[in-house]
Amino acid sequence: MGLKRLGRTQDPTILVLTSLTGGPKHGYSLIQDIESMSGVTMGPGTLYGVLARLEEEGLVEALPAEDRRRPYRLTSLGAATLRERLETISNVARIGLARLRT
Amino acid sequence: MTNSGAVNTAFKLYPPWWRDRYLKEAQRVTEDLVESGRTRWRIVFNLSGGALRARLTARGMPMEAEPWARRTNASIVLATAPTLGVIPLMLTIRQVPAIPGGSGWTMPSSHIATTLYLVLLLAFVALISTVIWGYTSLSNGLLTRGTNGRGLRVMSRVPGYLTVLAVVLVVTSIVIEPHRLIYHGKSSIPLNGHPLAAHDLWVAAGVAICLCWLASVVLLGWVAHRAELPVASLHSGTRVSVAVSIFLWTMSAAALAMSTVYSKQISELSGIRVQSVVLGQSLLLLGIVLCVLSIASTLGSVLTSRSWKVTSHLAR
Repeated sequence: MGLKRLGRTQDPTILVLTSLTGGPKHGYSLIQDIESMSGVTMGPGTLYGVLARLEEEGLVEALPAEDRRRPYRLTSLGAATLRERLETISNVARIGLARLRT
Repeated sequence: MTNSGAVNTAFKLYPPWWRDRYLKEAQRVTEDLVESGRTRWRIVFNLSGGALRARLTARGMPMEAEPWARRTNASIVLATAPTLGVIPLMLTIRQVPAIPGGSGWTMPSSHIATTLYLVLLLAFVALISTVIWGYTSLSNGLLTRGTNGRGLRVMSRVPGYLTVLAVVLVVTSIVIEPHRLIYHGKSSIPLNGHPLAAHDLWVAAGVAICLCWLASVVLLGWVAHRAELPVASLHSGTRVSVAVSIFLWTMSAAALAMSTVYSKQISELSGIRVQSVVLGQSLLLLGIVLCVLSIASTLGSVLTSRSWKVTSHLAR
């Protein structure tokens, strides 16, 4: 079965938050980093939808813009939320892989 | 490299609060993406989807009373505007398909079809009554806010005055039309009244109703974009939105059920097979169009309820 048949396995929210763990990034560098990290080609409509939601929830914050490029950084709440989410995913992945081996 | 017309058009689909906050940086990102070789149509498609999501979810919208009140305005318009589509649609259907029978004219409708037709008409009357009630609240709301321009305040009265004019013309036409006729061979001769004037008044009433319809479209468009309404009017609008959705769904269900009744009636009334099929298909089409309008109205009323909660919270 192809990976596509499993449906949407790459949550853009997790991808953006994970990308920001490497330090503040503006829109274009977020898209590039996410593509190199996961192979997901994110469009500007998706990216800014996610950023608006994360900013509203206080998980990321915008920094002053430089030449129309506005960097975003992870807040402490964002880091805690991401850690919790990744631990859950990691736990599921570990159990799934272990069961596949048996 | 600057963005193409299509990309800029896609940005215009976003709500004003989004453009104020993200437009410059998002434009820069799209310029960088185009330079890196990303195709423009993919960007446009992605931006259009993003604009739709931004309008529907309003995630990231600043928690300020004014933009949320405007959003509630626009949602009420989305929920109630389908009524304007229903009015001309309802004029196209009649239950009497005028089938020649053994003696005079007969109606190929069963009791069930007649009951369903009654449900359809009652839901339509309830819909119109609700909209008139909502319109009164809207009109009063527009007039109480001094910040609304003179044009908008005048416009808020126009559909109401045109409706009154149409009613007066219809009543006058009924009063002056001939009440007694004498049949002379195949033609009938009026003994009193003014048949030509009565006919002209009917036509004038029809024109007034059409103008009222157009004025309502303009008014709703205006309200969605620039009107300021008091909280009480927004609250009324929220209730009207929900009621409109319910009545539209009732009408859709009645029209679709009537379509089924007529399509099953063919075998019973083989002599009028063609007419029944045509009527069943027309009602099916009507039901489908009503369903589309109901979906739009329901979407509007869901958005209205959500926006209203935030607006009322911010207005306190």
